[in-house]
Amino acid sequence: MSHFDPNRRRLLHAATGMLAAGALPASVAAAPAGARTPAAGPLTRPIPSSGERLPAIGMGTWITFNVGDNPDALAVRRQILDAFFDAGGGIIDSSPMYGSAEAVLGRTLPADAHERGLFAATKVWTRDGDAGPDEIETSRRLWDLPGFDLLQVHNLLAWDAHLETLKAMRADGRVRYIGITTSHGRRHRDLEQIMEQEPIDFVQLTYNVIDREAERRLLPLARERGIAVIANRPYRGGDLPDRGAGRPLPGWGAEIGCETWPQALLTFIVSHPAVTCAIPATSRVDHMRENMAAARGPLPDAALRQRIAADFAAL
Amino acid sequence: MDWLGYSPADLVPFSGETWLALLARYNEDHLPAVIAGMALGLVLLRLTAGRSPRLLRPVLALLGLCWLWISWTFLHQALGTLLWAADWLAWAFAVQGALLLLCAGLPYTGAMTPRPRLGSPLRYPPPAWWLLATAVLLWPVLELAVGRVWTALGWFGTGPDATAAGTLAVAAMTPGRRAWLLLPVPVLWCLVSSAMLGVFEAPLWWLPLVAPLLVGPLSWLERRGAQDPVRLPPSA
Repeated sequence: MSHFDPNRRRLLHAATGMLAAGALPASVAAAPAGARTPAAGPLTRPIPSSGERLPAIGMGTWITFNVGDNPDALAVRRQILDAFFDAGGGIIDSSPMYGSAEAVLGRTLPADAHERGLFAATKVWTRDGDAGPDEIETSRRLWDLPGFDLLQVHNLLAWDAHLETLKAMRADGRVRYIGITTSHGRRHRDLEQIMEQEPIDFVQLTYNVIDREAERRLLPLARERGIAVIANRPYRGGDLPDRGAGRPLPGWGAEIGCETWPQALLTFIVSHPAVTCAIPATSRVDHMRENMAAARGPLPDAALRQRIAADFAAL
Repeated sequence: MDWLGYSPADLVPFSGETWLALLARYNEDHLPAVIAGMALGLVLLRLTAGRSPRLLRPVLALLGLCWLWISWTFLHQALGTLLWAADWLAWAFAVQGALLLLCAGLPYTGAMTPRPRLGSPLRYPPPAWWLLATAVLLWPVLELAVGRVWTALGWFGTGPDATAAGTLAVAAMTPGRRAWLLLPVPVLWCLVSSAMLGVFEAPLWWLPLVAPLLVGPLSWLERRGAQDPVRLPPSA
């Protein structure tokens, strides 16, 4: 694996962000009604605490990368990762909770993953507050990386002890960003308190076209506190694309450059101004390509977002 | 973690395809054991058909070895790569194996009973024997019938589902209170397996529930049927 140089990566991403900004077409003023500034190439969003830009469509590994040492499955995962990076992907999120997913990443990430834009994010998931450092080191060895870009406390498990560990690691330069996660709308009150009181860089929570509870308080709070937001369960474990399977998009699909419901669902998520990225997981190369084609066109404004949600609910 | 807030889908960190691939790889890697397990199942059917309490001891011992095998080879070594809770399950299976071996070491009252008369229900295999026969013979056939690839079938003796179902059948045939000791772990596994197969939307998600539902009635039938008032004289 390549040498982990945070400064080099930061410059690379800043340059990518400037290029993206500079490539904005002159037709911005003529964007279709309901759509905001069109994106050129992969949409990127700034991490508030540093300004580093992160591609808005990332990748999760829950279930999809927990395939053990099945050689056929490993070969497909290599193809998925190639498609991900070829399309400008960045953040890959995993956890010790996900079975063999971290080990599978270690076996399938390309050797030049960092040069291709890898932003490695994992979690600490142990009830023992003192066992965090050992678990993180195990994860690092499994991923076969010099270090992580982001470390998160998984599902608030022993968060107070682990957050101290992560803060110390960030101060020492052993990790660039720290955060905390929850999912399925659980423990939002606890998460809100932590966001108000702790100097975290990221928060990960469930947000999609159906699960919008985070809009009430957590997303505005994240903007207020300068915390990046990772949206997990963008497809609710696959249920949402299944609901839209075979159904054509209404007319607004063309306005926002989407051809399929999965693309529209991801675009909906990352069009929220507080969301930094979404992390859909997939075990199929074609789905990865479809996911990475989302959010390439004009983003829906607030009114169009409501229409998208209403049209999906009506399916 | 607030476990009560989690659904089964949240607790199964792998897909149905991965589960089947795991089973296929396990069967392939341990083919001699799979064959031995099936042969052992046939032996158990033969030993339990005659209703002899004396023959229950080798039955329990052989079953105990199966549970220990599954504990180490399937749960710890194979499933342990995919599921963080696999080692807990492995320990439960090991305890079950130990309990079976312990019960096998205990004497059973009632020596060889006289051969029942023709027409007596005691002349036929006990009701629970048919559940054991389902676990040994019918289980893989049912899985094949609903489209599972033959390499990923669950075989008695090495597959946890069929082995748990067969063990419940044997527990129903086991006299005395010690049979109760043999119930919790197989019942637990049947529930876990059914829940997991439900997450995968497998067509036979309900099959592992059959044995726990039947073990009570079968045990009652077995104990009631053992009280045959008419027996042949020893010389007949």
